Amino acid sequence: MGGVRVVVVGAGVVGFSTAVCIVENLPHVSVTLLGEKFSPETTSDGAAGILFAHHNPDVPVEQQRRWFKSSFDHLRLIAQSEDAPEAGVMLSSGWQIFRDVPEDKTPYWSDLVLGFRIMTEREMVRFPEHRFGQAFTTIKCECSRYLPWLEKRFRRAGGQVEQRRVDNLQDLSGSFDVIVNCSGLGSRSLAADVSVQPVRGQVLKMEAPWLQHFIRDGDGLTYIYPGIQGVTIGGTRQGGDWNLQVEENDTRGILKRCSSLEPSLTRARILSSWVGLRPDRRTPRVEVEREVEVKKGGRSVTVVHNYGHGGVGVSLAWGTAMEALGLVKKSLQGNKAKL
Amino acid sequence: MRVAVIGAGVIGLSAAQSIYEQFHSIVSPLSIEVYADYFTPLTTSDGAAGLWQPYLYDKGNVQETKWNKETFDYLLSCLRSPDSIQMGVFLQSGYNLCTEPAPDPSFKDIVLGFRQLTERELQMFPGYNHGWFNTSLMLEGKTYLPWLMDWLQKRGVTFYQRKIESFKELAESGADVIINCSGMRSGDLQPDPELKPGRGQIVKVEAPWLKHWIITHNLKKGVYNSPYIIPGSRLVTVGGILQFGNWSEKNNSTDHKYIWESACQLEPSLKHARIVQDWAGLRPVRSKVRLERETIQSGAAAIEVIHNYGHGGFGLTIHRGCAQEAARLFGQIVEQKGEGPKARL
Repeated sequence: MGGVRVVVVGAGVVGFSTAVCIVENLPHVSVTLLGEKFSPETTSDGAAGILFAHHNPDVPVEQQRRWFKSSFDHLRLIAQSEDAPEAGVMLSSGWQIFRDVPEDKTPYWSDLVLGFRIMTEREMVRFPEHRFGQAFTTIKCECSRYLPWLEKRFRRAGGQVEQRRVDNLQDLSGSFDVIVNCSGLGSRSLAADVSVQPVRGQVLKMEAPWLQHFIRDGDGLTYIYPGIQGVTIGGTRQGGDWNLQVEENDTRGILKRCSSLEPSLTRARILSSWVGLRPDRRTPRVEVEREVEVKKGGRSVTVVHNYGHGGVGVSLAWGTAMEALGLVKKSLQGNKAKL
Repeated sequence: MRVAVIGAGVIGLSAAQSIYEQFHSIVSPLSIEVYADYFTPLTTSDGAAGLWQPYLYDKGNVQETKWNKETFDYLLSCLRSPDSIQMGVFLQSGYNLCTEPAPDPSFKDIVLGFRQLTERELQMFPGYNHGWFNTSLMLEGKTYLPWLMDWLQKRGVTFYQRKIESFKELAESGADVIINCSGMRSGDLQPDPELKPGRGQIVKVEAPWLKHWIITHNLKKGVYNSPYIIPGSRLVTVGGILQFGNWSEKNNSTDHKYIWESACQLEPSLKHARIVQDWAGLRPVRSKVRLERETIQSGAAAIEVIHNYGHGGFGLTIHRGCAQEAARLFGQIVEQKGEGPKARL
């Protein structure tokens, strides 16, 4: 095939997952990952990383299932292996509770997580303002550990990593044959896609080692996620808000809402606060852009996009990475056919 | 009335608490004294992982099941109290695994959300083909005992660090009722051939990514002789040893190796856990809990004793139910002695 050169832009969970999928599955290809920010400074780092699927009305259910299942199964194997602590991947059980009984009591992902069931009346007694709940076991994937672990895996398979800000994908077309764009919010300029909007999220990390279960309000705004070194509580969903500063109002709101679900939090110490901007889009964009013709030498460069995962980046990273890998494979086969 | 409690583990301290709660406004004056040679953090209760879970099957002992349930319901109600953190009580879920299909455990309706394990869940544990998942409670002795002592101290209960050699000794010093919560060493006060040590050894490790207990059951090997992993609020307890008749409280390296290797097989991520310490303790095993009154003649005097010992590996699990029963028996003595409210009319 000759040295096909692939570049992945973006060092968050989607970028590294995609880079690892490509380098491990396409042995004759050289893969370079370029990122402006690396862990612990990516959007992925502050996320609690609980695997959770949403129902996106604009994506076919089969595709959402495939993406979520692929991510869940991949991480579950890691959670049960020796690598679990280094990779920051663990099992997490808990409850999702609703003030009003939802229309869809058993969502499309209920058979993809473990042990899904409706909560019993005795279990609901702890949540007097909620009338319905689901209990299940899912995965927590902490990117502050997972990203360095993925990077190790990427390098071990021959991947190259470079810290570099990319201002224009065209700039890369001289040195690479396939460009995989995993730049999250950066795609507003890199892919000229202003439909990617920030949805601001603030979280607190609490010292509450007695908490072993996640609790999530079905409205997605209030959640408690115990992790390896602290309990992440949140949150906020402020569309179009670029503010990366921690806001006192939000801190108070989060503490109030989370303490009403778990009163012991009023006696927990705040370890840290963090703000991240979810790269929100109507649907995640996983597709090949029409092939870019490079003026000189008549070469064609394929651009594969994998961005716009909103608040489900960790939950869908591996599944969309595998999908992007499929697109890269197809385009390489297509190119072979053209020779 | 003077009440002397022998033993400062979870059984002794909780018995003192129940008696105080129910009688301090009825019997006046009521002085409660706790005598023990070991206090927290050196008691058997301190070493236990602290999971509320009785043996799988109660074999018809409905009395003990009732006490277990009382304890569970009591601890569940404590979750909402502002004291819950200082008490060391919190919810935890986990897996009970069997090597072959087995009937549902006696505690299935007491715990929360009890269900069978699914095929996919069982795939996570090769070698085990049946099991259950439920939510239960943790009660960490190292936190609960200091909280109990503080609770008692604030209410005037006094503590004496001393090994009691006989019931007579306490009776002669003026105790009206003796509550015998001396656990493993009850035999020193009154021979009991039914009471035997069930030696256990555990390894405490740092593995904060583990949030579920995993307890295996090998019906051939017997209870507690199969690996278990129980995360706590700070450390994870790893164990799986029960040796009848072994009085040694020293850590044994063969036992350590057995526990560690079988636990790592069950949970591969443990390989990278930092080992903090080993500990060995003696479960006060008995065919059933001895919770009853005994009036012992000593010359012309009669010594009133309430026995409350022999809780095996489920002391924390059953403590409150037993404490309340001990208080009820104490009430009988109060009536007999004419110290009760009716006597004052």
